[in-house]
Amino acid sequence: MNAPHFSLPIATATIDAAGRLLRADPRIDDLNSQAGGSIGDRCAIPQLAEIARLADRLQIQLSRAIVVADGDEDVELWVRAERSDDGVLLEVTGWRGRDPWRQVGDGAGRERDHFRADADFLWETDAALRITMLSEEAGARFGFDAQALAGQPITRLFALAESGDGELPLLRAVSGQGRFDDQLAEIRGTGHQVTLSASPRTDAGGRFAGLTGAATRLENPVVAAPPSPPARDLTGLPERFTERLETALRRPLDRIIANADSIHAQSDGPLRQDYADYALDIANAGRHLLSLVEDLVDLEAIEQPDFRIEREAIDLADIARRAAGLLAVRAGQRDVTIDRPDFDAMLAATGEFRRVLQILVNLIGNAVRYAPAGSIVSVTIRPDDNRAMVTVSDVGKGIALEDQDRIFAKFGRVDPGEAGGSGLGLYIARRLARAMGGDLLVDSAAGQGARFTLTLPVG
Amino acid sequence: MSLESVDPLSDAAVTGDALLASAACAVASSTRIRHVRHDLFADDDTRIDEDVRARFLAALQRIVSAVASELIAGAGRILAGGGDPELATALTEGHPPYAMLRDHGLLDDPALVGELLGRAALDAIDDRLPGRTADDADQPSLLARLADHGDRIVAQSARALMTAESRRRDAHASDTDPADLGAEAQHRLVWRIAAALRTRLDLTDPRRAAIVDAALGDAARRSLRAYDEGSRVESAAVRLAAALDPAQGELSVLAIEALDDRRLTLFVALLARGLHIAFDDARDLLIDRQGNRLWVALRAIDCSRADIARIGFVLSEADPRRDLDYLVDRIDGIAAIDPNQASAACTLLRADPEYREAIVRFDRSVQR
Repeated sequence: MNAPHFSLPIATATIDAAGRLLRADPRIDDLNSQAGGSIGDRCAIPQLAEIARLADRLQIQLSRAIVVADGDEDVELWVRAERSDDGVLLEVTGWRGRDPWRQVGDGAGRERDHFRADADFLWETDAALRITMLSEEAGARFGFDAQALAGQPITRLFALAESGDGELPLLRAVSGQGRFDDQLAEIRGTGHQVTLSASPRTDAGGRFAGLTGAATRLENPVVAAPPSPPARDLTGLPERFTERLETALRRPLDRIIANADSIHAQSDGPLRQDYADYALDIANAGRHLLSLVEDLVDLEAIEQPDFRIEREAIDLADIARRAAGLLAVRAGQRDVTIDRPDFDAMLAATGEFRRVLQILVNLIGNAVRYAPAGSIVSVTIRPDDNRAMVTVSDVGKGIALEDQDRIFAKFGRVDPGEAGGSGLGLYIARRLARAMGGDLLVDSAAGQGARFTLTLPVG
Repeated sequence: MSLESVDPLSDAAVTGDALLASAACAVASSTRIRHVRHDLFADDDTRIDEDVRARFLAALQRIVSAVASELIAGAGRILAGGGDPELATALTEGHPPYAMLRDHGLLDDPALVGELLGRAALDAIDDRLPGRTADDADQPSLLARLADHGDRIVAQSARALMTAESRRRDAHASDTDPADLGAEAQHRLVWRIAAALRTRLDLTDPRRAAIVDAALGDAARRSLRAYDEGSRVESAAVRLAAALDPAQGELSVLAIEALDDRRLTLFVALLARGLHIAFDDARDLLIDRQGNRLWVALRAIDCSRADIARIGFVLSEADPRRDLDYLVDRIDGIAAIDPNQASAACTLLRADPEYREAIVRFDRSVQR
């Protein structure tokens, strides 16, 4: 059985011909309740009601990907609907946080364009890993017969090599763990060594539908084991990679964001509202990418052995007010109030001004993100013996005790499926706090909000 | 003028007879796509889907540019080899051939526009098809299975179709698409581009004119000799459908599997095979968003209610401007149509295109 490749169990529900939700597993019941519905009443999730109606009227099994609101986040679901004795049975899986940007159009086409930029040739397979697309021209260049290989297993073209951990990255991707870029292989019968990259595709029901991939010839073929990483490769990335990445991306991203914001603001004339909204999606996606690039640059910087931080006299109350001010607009959009230190409050400390601001923007930004609408995020300061402390607290969903170490880990996130963020912010923040002679601690319990406290030496 | 049809069936409780009558009337106008070509070159006309318009123009520019490059290279070699390198150089300079042809109305060719517009509309749907994999993950997709078929002709045709589709994608990405039209349109276009390139040179001297015309003529003939209409995706799909030669009961199964496999060109070829009509006419049925003619055609090849429901749903998922509720409200009436009557309603589609064109003109003149 080709099951959906997402790990969460399938949730089911039944909707009758009148659109009433007859029964639902807890996850669907929760969504329906959030939308104001209840069991026995009309289904309050219009996307589910619609596919149930179509399955009922067309009398066939249907599959569709939908996006529904889950609190203040969007989740992407795969829904399969089929008539049963007492109504339409819905099977729902996926439950992925939606990316911060909207994906529009042909996903496989986008992947092909992405791969094509760097690769020597592209290939595609179906779910059974049979070749369904292979460049004839590449065949002429590399010495294989593309037409004869059409429909054959991918392993007929490539002899796959195991990675360092003894696994085949290609098989990892098939089992649902996403894209890979590191599959070493040899084109059979040609002696050409290549690196394979690919992304899995899914069908309308969320099931694995095949791979869209690329092959890139190795300039210096690997004879035995893959080359060991350079000595300074502390982040897993090539030397100065992030610096070059930032140089290459910052200006184009800035322009994309600025232009998309202009389009959204309709500064050059009126636009259809949905187009203007697309522009906002583009701008938000750009900001997300930029923040990711900035996090990576920070990560590389703080992990260098010669990383140094300035020690200067700072007013922690002033920096807390500034950080709160920077996030006031975002908080307003989410109907969250930031309670910041009074304007006459002062708290002398030692640290680097911009790094402390960076930490507090990160903490307050997280708090605003997780705080429920209508609630307050508090930013309070207090001296404590020889330390200055600033605490950011919210009344959001909190962090379970067992997750509290993980959030400070590199790429550590409580819910890996959750949209937004790079998973680097708190890791960087704690490293910076400790580099300044202080620390960053969390005090929280699931369902009871979170309190993050930054301590610094007194000034 | 629009690609949209006017809906003659506003009443949801429609009978099979009404659908048949509607389809019989509309079937003769299946060439209407060829009548909207003028709107493609009007800047302010957005009636054709923007995505389709963009695909059409990109494909046309790509083909013109690729053919022009081939002719410039071919003629240039002849001119340089004949001791006239300055003429070879001059051939490379001047207005872009696409703009020259467009400005002189030489792209306004019904066969060229009809074919590329139909292909663009089909590609737009194809790219957004959701696809559906088999419950058994180890079962290869349709074309992969056919590539291993015991019948050598079927296996070879399936591999040829996959290769042709790969080739077209490569050509789209690399802007090299010199030979990808029907024979008639390809021939006309090559000679028109040669004529456009000719205007890049000062040919007041009859001797120079003769040399350049001979070089461009040789290059055009060389380009056309290398052209193989049979290597196109559409031709490969038609050959595979013919090799499969499915019986009436197998046709709908194969067509649905082609749709699930996101092989829309094969779906069209199977439909054309089942209806005994030309590929382009079957494509017109599919890209018509209103759909009545398609539902009748599907009944003509004995598609069941469930088959038609699935095809309608999948097409509307790929093309949200289609009105799925229109089908939902009429599916029972459509399913009740007798396949023989449906087939009779499609008779005119099997007639000569010129004859159909003439009928449409007569009908219009009577309506006036």
